[in-house]
Amino acid sequence: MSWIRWWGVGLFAVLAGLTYAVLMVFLNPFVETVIEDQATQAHGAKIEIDHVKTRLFEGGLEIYGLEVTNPDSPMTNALTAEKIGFGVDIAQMIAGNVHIEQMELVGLALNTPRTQSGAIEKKESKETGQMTEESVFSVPSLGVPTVDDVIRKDELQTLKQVEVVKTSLKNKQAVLKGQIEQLPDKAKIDNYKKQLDDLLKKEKNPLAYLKKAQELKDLKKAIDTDLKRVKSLKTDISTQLKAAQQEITALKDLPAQDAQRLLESYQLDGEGTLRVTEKIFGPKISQWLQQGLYWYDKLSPYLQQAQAESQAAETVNEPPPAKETLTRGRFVDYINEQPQPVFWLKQLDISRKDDSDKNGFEGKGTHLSDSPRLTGLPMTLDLKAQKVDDWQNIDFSSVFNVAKSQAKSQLALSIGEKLLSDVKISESKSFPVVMTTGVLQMASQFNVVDNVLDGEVKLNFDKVALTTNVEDGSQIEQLIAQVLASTQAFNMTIKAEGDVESPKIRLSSNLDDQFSKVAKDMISQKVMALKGDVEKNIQAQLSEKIPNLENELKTLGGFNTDIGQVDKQLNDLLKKIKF
Amino acid sequence: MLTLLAQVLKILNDDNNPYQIALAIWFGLLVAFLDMMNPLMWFVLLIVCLVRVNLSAFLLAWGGFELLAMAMVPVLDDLGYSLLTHPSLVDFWKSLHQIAGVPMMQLGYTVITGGIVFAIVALLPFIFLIPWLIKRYRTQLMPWVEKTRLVAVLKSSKIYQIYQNL
Repeated sequence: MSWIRWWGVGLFAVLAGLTYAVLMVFLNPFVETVIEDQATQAHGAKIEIDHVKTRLFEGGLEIYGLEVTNPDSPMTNALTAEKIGFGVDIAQMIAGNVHIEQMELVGLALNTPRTQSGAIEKKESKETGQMTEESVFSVPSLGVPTVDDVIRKDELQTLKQVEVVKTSLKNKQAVLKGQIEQLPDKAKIDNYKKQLDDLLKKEKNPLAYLKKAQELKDLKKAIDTDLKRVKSLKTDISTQLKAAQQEITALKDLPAQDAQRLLESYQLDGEGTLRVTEKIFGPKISQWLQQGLYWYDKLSPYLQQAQAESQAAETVNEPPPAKETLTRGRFVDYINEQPQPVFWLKQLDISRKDDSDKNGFEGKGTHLSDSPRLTGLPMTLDLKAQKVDDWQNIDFSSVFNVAKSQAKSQLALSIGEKLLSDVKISESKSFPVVMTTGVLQMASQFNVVDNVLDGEVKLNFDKVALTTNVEDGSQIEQLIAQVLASTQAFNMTIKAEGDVESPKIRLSSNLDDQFSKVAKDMISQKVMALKGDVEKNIQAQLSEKIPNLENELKTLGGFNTDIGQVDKQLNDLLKKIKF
Repeated sequence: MLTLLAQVLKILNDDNNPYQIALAIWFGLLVAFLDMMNPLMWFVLLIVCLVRVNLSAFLLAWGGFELLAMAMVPVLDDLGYSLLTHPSLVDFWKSLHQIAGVPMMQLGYTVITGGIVFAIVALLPFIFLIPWLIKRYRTQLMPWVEKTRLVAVLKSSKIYQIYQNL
């Protein structure tokens, strides 16, 4: 009896053939439907595929005609790809992981128009945080005030100084008065006189004479001491008087300084710069940045999750738990000594469809993974395009190093040239600005370390033509419009710093210098005309206070007369002592 | 249930080669420890179709051992884990992985590896023990059974009619 069952061979062949045929007919449409449905739900807008080809025995898949709708702009595809082909590592797939050694992406294009809307029914709309139209632009008020407005605006330093001088004079008077009171009074001088008269009487007794001589010497010494104090006080009074006079004289210069100070506050901001560019271009730049950050926003949750995973792993220092299924048990990865990530695209090659693919990108990505901690390698993505629509020489490079707990990411994007045409820079009704033509060059660099962003974007606008419509606008608006109309080139620097979720953005431009210069000239003329009137007003107020001060000064001068008499009396006494 | 019993009796009483029956039962055991996605299972099915083994015995054994496999999951898990993580076997598993088709056999899973190893270890006892038991049944037990009053009753019963129709 033969051990081979020939009819069994036939049966197996028929069954295998039928299975293969069913797979060939239904597998590709099934895979296509599953990818479209799952990806669309996850993305929040339609993701469509022309067709797919599965390479079952090689674990390969080719996706043709991929269109990913931009959820914020349903008539635009955020990304399209002619073909995406890859093969998965079967051994890792059995372990529940998707490891792709190399993925080929052909004909990648960004922001292409759609023929039909790619919107799907959304549960809730996302706040974009963009500024409202009317909040975007308001030119600073540069109206010139009246003299009274200026005077009332702040406390006058002149009057404040008058009070200071007055208080100082009063204090000096009090101090000197105290010192004068300590000088010999009339009783004391009379006592000196009486003592002197007694001592000058003739004495025949030699011993008594010698005693008187000694007492006379002591008296002279006491009078000398008092006289010295008197002279010192006189000098002190003269000095104080001179200083007080100087202070009063100095007051006369203050009205001019006050007028200057008060009018300075009607000039431009603290740095003397009119920051109009930020107000005019801010919303449009913010819109461009939002578009630029679209893919980063998409990527950000994964990066943060990967970083959190790295931090947790470094803290706990334990391997992830083994995957377990009910019927197959635990998975032991005996091939790899280290745990493997669930998704790992080791190399991504992006190429243009062909030479006619004008909107195509070229580039390379490496080690794109859901768990960079397990690969231990930084994720990189570099893209280049010679021409995409009216954008030329686009060069993008990025490194996301979240393998360690201290995550570092770097992004750089440069655009050789972008032609601008009829771009609405400011959509404000009161100050509309349109760039009818222009050429933009851009270079940017962003570093993110532990979610702290440090980025700079340099924009260079050349061959520009800016138009505004501010016939009914204020004088300063008219002036800004004139500057914009005469501008042919300008540059702009945007700095973004701080928390990556809500960075502080600062925009500066050399246009501001031009705005500031013309605004300054205009304001200066008006302010100078006002300065004289303000100064006169303050001077008048000062004149009312000066007589009062001069009276106080006279009181101070009167002290000299008082102590002059004491001085004279003491000197007269001394003259009587002749040795 | 009666059909199942009749089927067992027919397999035992037929003049089929006992080794074909034993091999069919062993294949049933091996397949019961694999899951549908494992290419090894489909390879065994191919062998069962190609090699003249008793198909009824194979199907009966598969069904029976599926129940056994479910009960043995904790034991097979421990066995597979100790084999896959044993330091002296690491190189063996790695070299096995290099053979074409082996990576698809899901050997990294403890229950599958434990089941396959259990089935391989059970092959020799099956090949020798089951044919010996069948032969002993046919030569010694079957003539005695045929003469018993119980069989006489059974022959007149519904189960015999089913047996005859198989």
